[in-house]
Amino acid sequence: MVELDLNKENEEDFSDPPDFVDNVTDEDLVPDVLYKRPTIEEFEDNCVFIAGIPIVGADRIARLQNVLRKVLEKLEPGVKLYIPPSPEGGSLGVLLTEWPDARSAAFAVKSLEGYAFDKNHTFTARFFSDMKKLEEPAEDWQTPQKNEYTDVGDLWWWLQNERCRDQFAISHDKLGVPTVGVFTNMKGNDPELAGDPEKAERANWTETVFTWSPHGSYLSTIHKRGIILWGGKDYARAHRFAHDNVQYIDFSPCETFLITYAAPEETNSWGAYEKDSLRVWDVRTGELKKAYSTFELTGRTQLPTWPFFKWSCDEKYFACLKAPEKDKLERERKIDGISIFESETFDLVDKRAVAVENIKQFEWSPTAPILAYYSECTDAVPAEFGLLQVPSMQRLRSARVHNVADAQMFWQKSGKRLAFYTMRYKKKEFRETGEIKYVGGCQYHVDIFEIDKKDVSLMNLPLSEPFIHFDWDPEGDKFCVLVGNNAKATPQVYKIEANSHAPKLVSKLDAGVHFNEVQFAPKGGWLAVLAKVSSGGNVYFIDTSLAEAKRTNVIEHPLFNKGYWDPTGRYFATCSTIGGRSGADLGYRIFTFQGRELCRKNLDRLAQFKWRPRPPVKLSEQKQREIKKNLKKTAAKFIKQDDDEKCRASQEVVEKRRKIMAAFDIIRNRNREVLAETREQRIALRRGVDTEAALDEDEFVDEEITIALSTSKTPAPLSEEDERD
Amino acid sequence: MRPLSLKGHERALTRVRFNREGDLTFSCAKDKKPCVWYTENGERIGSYDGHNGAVWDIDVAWDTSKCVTASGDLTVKIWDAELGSCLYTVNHQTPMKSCGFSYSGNLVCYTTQKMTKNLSTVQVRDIRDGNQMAEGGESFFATQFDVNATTALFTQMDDLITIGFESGLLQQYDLRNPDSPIHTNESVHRYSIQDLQLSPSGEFLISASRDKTAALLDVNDLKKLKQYKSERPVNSACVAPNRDHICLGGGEDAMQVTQTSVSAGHFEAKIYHMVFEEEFARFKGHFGPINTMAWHPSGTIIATGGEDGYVRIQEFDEDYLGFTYDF
Repeated sequence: MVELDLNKENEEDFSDPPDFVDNVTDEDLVPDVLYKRPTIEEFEDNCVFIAGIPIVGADRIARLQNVLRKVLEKLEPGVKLYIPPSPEGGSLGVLLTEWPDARSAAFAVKSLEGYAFDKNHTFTARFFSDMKKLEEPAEDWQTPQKNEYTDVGDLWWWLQNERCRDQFAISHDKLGVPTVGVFTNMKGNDPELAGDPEKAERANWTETVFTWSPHGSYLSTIHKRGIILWGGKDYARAHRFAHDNVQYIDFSPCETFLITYAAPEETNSWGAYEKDSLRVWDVRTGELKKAYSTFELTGRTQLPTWPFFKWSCDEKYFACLKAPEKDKLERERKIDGISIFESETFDLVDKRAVAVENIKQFEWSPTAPILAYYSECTDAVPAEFGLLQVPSMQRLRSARVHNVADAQMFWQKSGKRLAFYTMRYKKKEFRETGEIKYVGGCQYHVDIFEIDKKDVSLMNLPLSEPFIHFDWDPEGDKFCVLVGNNAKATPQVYKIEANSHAPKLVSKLDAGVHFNEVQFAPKGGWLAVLAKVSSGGNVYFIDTSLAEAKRTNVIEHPLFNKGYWDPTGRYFATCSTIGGRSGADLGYRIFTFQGRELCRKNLDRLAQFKWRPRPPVKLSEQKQREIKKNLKKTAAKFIKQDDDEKCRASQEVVEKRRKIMAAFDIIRNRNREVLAETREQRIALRRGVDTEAALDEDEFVDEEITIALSTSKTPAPLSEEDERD
Repeated sequence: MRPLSLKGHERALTRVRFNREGDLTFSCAKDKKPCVWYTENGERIGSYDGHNGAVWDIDVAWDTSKCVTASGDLTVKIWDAELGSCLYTVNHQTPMKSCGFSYSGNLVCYTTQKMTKNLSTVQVRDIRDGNQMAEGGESFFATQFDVNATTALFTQMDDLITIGFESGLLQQYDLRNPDSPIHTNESVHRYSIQDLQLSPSGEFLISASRDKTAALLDVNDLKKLKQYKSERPVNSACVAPNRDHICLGGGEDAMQVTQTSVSAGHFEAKIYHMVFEEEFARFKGHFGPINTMAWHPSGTIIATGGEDGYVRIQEFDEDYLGFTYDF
């Protein structure tokens, strides 16, 4: 006991007084330990946030935890789970996981993203650190209002026209006010407003231009605040897309997406460039799918072309030229790739652009996800024309051509063939002014890839004269190439025959002046050759459906600047719009496919004329055969309908005229009465001569007049009378 | 023989008119000599010599006894139509652009151009009154305008005149009251009125304007009844005597003619149905704008005078004469 006491006495008391405050920090004492202390940042990389787990009550939480653990431990046994509880003790549908290291966490994110846990639950996995990238929602953010679905009626009502008439829209000044109107082509009679006159024609419908959607379902108009699509019989507002100061719009080929562009307001503030001048919308939901920065896509502050994105026929992909890279001196290099995006994710296919050196131009095939591209030649490398399959990025075929000065590509609408024209020079000289001069003349060639042939065959057609324009028969085996010059341009029709290595010249048509375009009718067979913006304004109508191409008619529309086939190929419209040469009479004319004029309208300040496109609905083979078989019978029926209509129309006109005449006669008779009252006064004014009386035959005196048919001069003494003459 | 193309003027035609019977054609041009022709064969009978400047208008009295001409030489002259001698000369400080006889042929109206301090005026003189016709004589009716009066026309006997202005305004005055017009129409035309003519039986007026239209007006109140749209400025329009048709002519401005191909210039005369306002025929011939036209009293001939210096006497073909509108 004593010992114990002794010990107690000897021991010093080291305890701090109760009010002692230590002035030494942990950092001074144990820096080595603290250094090793885990930080939040370190752990963030190890933590993965998983959403989409089942929401259960408190009773089943343990079971859920076990199931989840089983799933996750398959990836990494050392995983730790935490299910944040709801106030009732159940799960919230989210799960926090911690993994031993960042690598396994990354693996977990990759594996668990999109993992189907069960029938109803699919995981979304994110790094915990991704949360930092999220932006604070705006303070006044609210759940978006549910948009009422506006039913504008049948979008394809116009296709159900009993007489299969086509519609077109025009924009012009009506009584001095810019007006857009939708009309039905009445074949020979005056076009009629398509639908309710109040609704089919509206003043100031658009602020700049209108467009039809590719299938004709919607009429789109541009406004200061965005785009409006109108559809249905009453042209009701179907969708609205808010994009301030929108300038350009474009649709994807099947009307699924709408692309809008507005020039950014400030283009000179570098670094702070716009983020969303190009926007892609879902047409049906009105949802903004993706916004792109024009600057990021092109490296320029201005849009290089419009439509900017080119879409594959199935809308799966869209593409644009890559932004040019810069070298060390900040000079732009030539563009060396195509950015191909997937419309599913709006990301680049394979996360990168496709490399194509010196690419100048590309076009999608109208029927398959195949890209045709043209890359310019340099002094060392020849130009390349190639076909690229997407998404495999396999090059199907390419052709290299030396000394190409100019080139254009033309896909056949059936997607079977691709033609490219090249202008090849012999020698090139650079002038002091920087211009390039081609010495020794140029040669012109058209080359054709046949896609459906084995290994994609290539055929060549050298042209004897300079190339002007080219077009394919959309379905058949023919094409027309326009060659020559301004003073003498010759349309030549060729046919591609199986088992032949070169296209065969079918016919060489009469040359004409100022021809600058060839247009095949959308269903093939017929061809229009146009001399746009020329004082003669000729259009040749050519039938190529027979063994020899034959010109059926030539029309004149001086200074017309646009020509359009209607979507069925039954009519052709020429128009002279404000974009053309000044001094032209603005208006449009509609012809049959053979070149017979049906109607002619002069309109003040005509700005646009656009046929309403038709959706690509194809009749079955059987139905087509049936129609062909019964053609004579049906034709007779249609002719009768046409005649009846003409008769009825003329009756209507007569009826209208009668009314007008009756109204006019009232005024005329009133004025005649007024005149009759003052008749006596008038007679008095003319000294009693009644100049209004019916002529009395008896008063006529036969008079013989001798007319000198030839005269000879004989000098005679001048009399006063003669001097006057 | 037809159409006759009469080459008697050295410069652009400014007016062609027929006398009441239609056997004579009177024409004047920017040269100094108005002419008279046989309508039948296009032979020139003679000219009225004495002006010293462009002659802008000529009219002939109902009995073909007298002619009146208005000229840029600051005179209006009244001629003996048969002898070609000048009977009276009326002077003014500025050029005179149009003139006309009243129903009785006793009164002459004319318009004067606005120039420097001088306002544009419309004046009427009585030929029978020696004081008015003497040198320095005063006209008995005169009104002044800020805008150029381009054309004046007796519209109802000797009482009313209708005036067309450069602004497109139309006004009707009673000669007894020069202070204010009795009727005004400022809405029908937007640009200068180039020509005003009375329909042959006198129920209507037809106006031709640079706003590319011609309009049929009620002679009693100047209200617009019909309007005919052309693609080019209209210089002249006239009403057919025996059918419900009107004819108008004009074309691209003389200034632009050299740059325009003939087909794009629209130098054709165009015939419209008077009531339905539809164009149904046109005839070519001039290679410059048509400045003036007149319908022959028989209804089968139209005379046109063009910027190209020709008078064309056009006789209608069977197609036209046999053409009827269904109603």
